[in-house]
Amino acid sequence: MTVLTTEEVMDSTVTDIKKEASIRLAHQKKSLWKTIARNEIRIRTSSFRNHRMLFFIALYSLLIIWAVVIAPYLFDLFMPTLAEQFSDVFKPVIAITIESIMMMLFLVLVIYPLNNIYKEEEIGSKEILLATPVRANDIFLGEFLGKAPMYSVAILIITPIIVGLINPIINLTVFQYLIIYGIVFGHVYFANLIGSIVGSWIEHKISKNEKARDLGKALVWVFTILLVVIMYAIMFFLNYLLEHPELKNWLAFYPSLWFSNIILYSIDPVLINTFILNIWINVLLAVGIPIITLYLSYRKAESFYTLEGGVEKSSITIIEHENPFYKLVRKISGRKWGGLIVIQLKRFFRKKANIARVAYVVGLLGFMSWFISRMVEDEAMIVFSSTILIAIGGGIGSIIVGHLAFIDSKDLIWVYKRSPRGIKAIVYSYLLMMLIFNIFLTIFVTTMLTIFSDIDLFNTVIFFVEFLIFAEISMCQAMGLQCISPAFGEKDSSMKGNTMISMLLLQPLMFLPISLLIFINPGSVELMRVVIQAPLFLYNIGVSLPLLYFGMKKLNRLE
Amino acid sequence: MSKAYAIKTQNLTKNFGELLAVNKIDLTIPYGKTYGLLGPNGAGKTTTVRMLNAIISKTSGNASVGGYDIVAESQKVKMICGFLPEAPGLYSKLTAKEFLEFIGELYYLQKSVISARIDELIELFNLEGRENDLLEGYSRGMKQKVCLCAALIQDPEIIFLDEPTSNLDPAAARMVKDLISQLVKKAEKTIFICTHLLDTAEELCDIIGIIIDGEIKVEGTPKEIIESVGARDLEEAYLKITGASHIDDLLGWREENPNNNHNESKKNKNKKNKRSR
Repeated sequence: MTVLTTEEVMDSTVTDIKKEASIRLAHQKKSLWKTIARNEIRIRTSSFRNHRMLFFIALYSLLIIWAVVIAPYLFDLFMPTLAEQFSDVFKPVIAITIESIMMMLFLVLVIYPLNNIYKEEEIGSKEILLATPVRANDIFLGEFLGKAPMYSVAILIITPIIVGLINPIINLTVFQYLIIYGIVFGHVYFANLIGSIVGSWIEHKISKNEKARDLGKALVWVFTILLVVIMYAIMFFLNYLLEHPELKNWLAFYPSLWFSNIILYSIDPVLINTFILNIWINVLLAVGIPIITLYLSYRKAESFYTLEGGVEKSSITIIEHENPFYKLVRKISGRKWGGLIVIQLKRFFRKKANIARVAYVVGLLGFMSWFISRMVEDEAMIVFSSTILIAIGGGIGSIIVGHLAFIDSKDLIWVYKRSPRGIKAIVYSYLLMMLIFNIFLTIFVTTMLTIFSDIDLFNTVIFFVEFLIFAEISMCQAMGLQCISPAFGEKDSSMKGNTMISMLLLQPLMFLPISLLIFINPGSVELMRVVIQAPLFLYNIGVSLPLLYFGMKKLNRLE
Repeated sequence: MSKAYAIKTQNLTKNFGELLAVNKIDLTIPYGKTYGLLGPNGAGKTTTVRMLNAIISKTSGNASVGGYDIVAESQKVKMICGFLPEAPGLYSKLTAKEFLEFIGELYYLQKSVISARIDELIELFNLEGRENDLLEGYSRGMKQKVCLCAALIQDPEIIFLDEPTSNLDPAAARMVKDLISQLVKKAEKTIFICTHLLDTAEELCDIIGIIIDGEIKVEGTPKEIIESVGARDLEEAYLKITGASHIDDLLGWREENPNNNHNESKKNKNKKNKRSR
């Protein structure tokens, strides 16, 4: 582009700016939330940017077919039979199912905006946005309503399921249909509102900083843990919950219950008799709280749509002295690996999201230890159940924390590559760091299993050694996959691909022990241990070590 | 505040908690001039620009941009200002055209005007053929160009540019410099530039302010600043004013630590071996 062209263009733009000024001033009173909302929709449907209208027509047509034809047909196939067979407990079971669906839906929808906290590419655009005449409350309202088409998808998927569950009990009238759809609509949008507020608050509080994303991810894991807790509670304590419906009073202020109670009331008012809040208070809370929250957040949007989150004051973390644990690791690991392992430990555990991940793994394995211990009746069962725990536990650990070796390390790979120690330095140091993690995890799981199952010292020691070895081999598998196709971001497609492959590789681990026992009948407990555990270990070693070997070779050739 | 100046500040101050980011700065920038704010990292340049664009609030003092108070009339300030941020952050899932349409709408521009302006800017910044690509596929320099387009889309009276040429290749940087010159000369725009590139500042700016630890230490034309410290050029003047470390000391650590001289000791050993042979 030459200077001459620049002059020409500038001349042409200057002439019409004066004419425009008056028109623009007239428009200044116009609210900009629609522009923000439209932009939000554009961002979220960028994959279909050339056929947006067609995409929405196709999507909503399919959803309407699901809601009007498929879902009613599917539920009519089996629900009336179930309702007849279990007529005495059917209503309470349906009530708990609806409550649980809405509880989990609420968490999932709150998680959704948190997932998008401070995507790197949006940091600078916030500054550009704030430099324009758009007001903070318009940004808030626009971003909130811009997600509406996506949230409407959730409404059209979930509501037909709820309707399908209720229909065998009462024949719903059009008015009742409208009430149920309205309740789910309010529920979904309130969850979206809460998610948007929490997300914006975190962004503001920690501002232009890696910490915001980290805290967002950690919160996502906390909510995921809650989701899993609800899921397991329903799966394993259904009878207890049916016998003690008053237990949900402890969650009186969990918003999804206000909404689900209205639906339950429409089925049978008796279903909410044990609840501390009557129907009118539920209606008041379900309508009033979302409106008040929306109004307050709209009015106060300026306080969190700003770059004044204390960028400088809150982003500094000062670490003057090294943690004694790290010093100990340095000493034990020796000069060659000590430094690198400690670096990996610091990198890993200074992220709140990783700590939440570890908490998730520990919680899940603790629960599994307790659950498996309930099956332990004799020594053969101890061997069998501990083998299952080894197989699943090692796999879960590798899937959740084993795939994080190269996160945010895109540039660091080259630092390692050009160093004299090469790529081995990052791979082995991560594996050694994971060994330390696995030692603590194994101690925890072994302790849990010993306490719950009351197993003897010999079996405890055997379990400890086996779990540790198996978990570390599984880590090698995760590392091998990451070396073959490194994921430098948690949302990278290779991360999803690697996790899926890991999960696929985990499947035989669960079925191998059971299938072997079907075909082979070992005479003694010792033989049984060998029969079901040897193939398990051989399979894991046979898959993981070659993956690691070829992965490292491939990573060495990375260009 | 005065309407005679494009930008005028009095004791403008910004604190982040206990941290004093900008300390009582006084700026008086007439219309149609290019002002360059220079200073080391963390000196308060970006904070100053953000305050003047009404993106963040001031702690104390007064400031007006285009005759409008940055607090009481912040919307009007935003209407007349264009802003290029330091980090070219864009919505990666939008195309350049979609992004510019979005920014144009935020300035209440009519659709026909937005469309015409986008075509002009796309052509000017040599982005033809790529305007419908998602921004995630753009290089840093191309993103910088899109940000520049966004800063110019409403043809603002006053333009704030934070490091406008830092990510651009030499040809694009030259074009941007020419554009800035033309904007001042032909369209009588006022330009406020924050930059580390001293040759750019010397070439483009009518007035330069050097900010250190939130305070404007020196202000004047490039010539005045160079003469005031007896330097040969703006770079030398800048280094003298900011007190940058002397080059002789930079390799001192090598001599203090004998382990770092192993290459030299190897050479000495080789020499000794040769002699003994």
